[in-house]
Amino acid sequence: MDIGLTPVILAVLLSFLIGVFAVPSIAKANGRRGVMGVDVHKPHRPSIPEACGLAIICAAIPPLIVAAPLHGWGEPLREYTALTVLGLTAGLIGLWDDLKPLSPRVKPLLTALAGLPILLLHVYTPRPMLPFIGATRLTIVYPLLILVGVAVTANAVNMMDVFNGVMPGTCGIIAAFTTVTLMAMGRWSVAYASAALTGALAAFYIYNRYPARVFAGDSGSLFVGAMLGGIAIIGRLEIFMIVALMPHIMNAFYSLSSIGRLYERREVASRPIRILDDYRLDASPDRRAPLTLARIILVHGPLDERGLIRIMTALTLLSSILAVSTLLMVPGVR
Amino acid sequence: MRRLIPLSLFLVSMWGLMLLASYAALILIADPPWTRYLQDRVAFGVYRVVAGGIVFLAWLWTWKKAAEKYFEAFSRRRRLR
Repeated sequence: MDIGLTPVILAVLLSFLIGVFAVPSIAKANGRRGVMGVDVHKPHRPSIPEACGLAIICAAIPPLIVAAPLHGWGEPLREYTALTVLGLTAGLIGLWDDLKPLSPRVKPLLTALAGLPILLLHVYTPRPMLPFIGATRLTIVYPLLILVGVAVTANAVNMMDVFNGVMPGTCGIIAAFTTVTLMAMGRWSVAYASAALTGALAAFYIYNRYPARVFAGDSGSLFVGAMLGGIAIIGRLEIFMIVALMPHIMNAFYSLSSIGRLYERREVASRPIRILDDYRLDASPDRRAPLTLARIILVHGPLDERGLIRIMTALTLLSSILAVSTLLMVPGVR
Repeated sequence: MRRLIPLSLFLVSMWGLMLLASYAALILIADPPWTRYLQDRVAFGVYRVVAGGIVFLAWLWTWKKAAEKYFEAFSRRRRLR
């Protein structure tokens, strides 16, 4: 459905405005309830309000609810409903994990279930687009891949949310690229949903950037990751999203493969990063430490947190450009 | 820049490897001569999933090994410095 550019711009503005006001209110409420986390990479280890990713949910979902009846009762309504239920489910799982940590085996299983609305409302096309090959028909396997895909994107984004501003910064870049790509492909209703996520992430970035005043927590990172996965599936941008999320997938995959099982950060015997006396970060020389993206970046030498964040953001910008290039290699897309 | 260039090259090479894997999948899945023996649609579907899965796992394995080699090489270089 061609809804035009104006609603997409309005979605960015609306979610951004809600986000700018929602983040401080939620941070204040969480601070009062004692939902706090320690910023371990700072000299005085400040306590920062946790689980403020709820503000991203509060900002990204209303534009979808408002637009559902305006954009027609057919396909867009089903798409917005699927994304709303998917996002809320992932966000609630994250909130549960923020308040009472879940087992590392249960969390991916629960986040996979967040993909169910896409299956139940049948807002997917079982023909993923691959470079050179084009659309491939995967009618039986694809529904299973949807659940796996949502779990992978949600947990990959969650595992990257370790340094100030990295999650909203990198995912904001990916969401912005996704929005523009979807618009160029004429998939306006999904572009609208992606625009709402972009605005919410931009607002959250203001408060989460270095030095962070709020933490997203799992409620924010699982919501954002699941939404990116859902948008990719509904918008038929699966290969685009895999390439754009390469730094995140790389980080999660290396960590899991070097440990050899699903794990939680607090379970790791040897941390991948060590903090030097001058508060610069360095790669751990311990062979048992997981091989995370940050550890790979720091193998070249110590760096302050801000420099590390800049490199992670630059790599995501590059991967997003590569994602657009990949799409141009899919037959029939140009 | 000192770190960004090798890291970017690493990312781009992994992307290039993914394109090669897609090309390999195209050769294996699209219309190779041996698929004429797979007349049955179910057998052909199973073949496509297995062949695609092998290509994907090979890509993932190469990715993992490349990261380990990258880390080891730069660790050694740093120790030597």
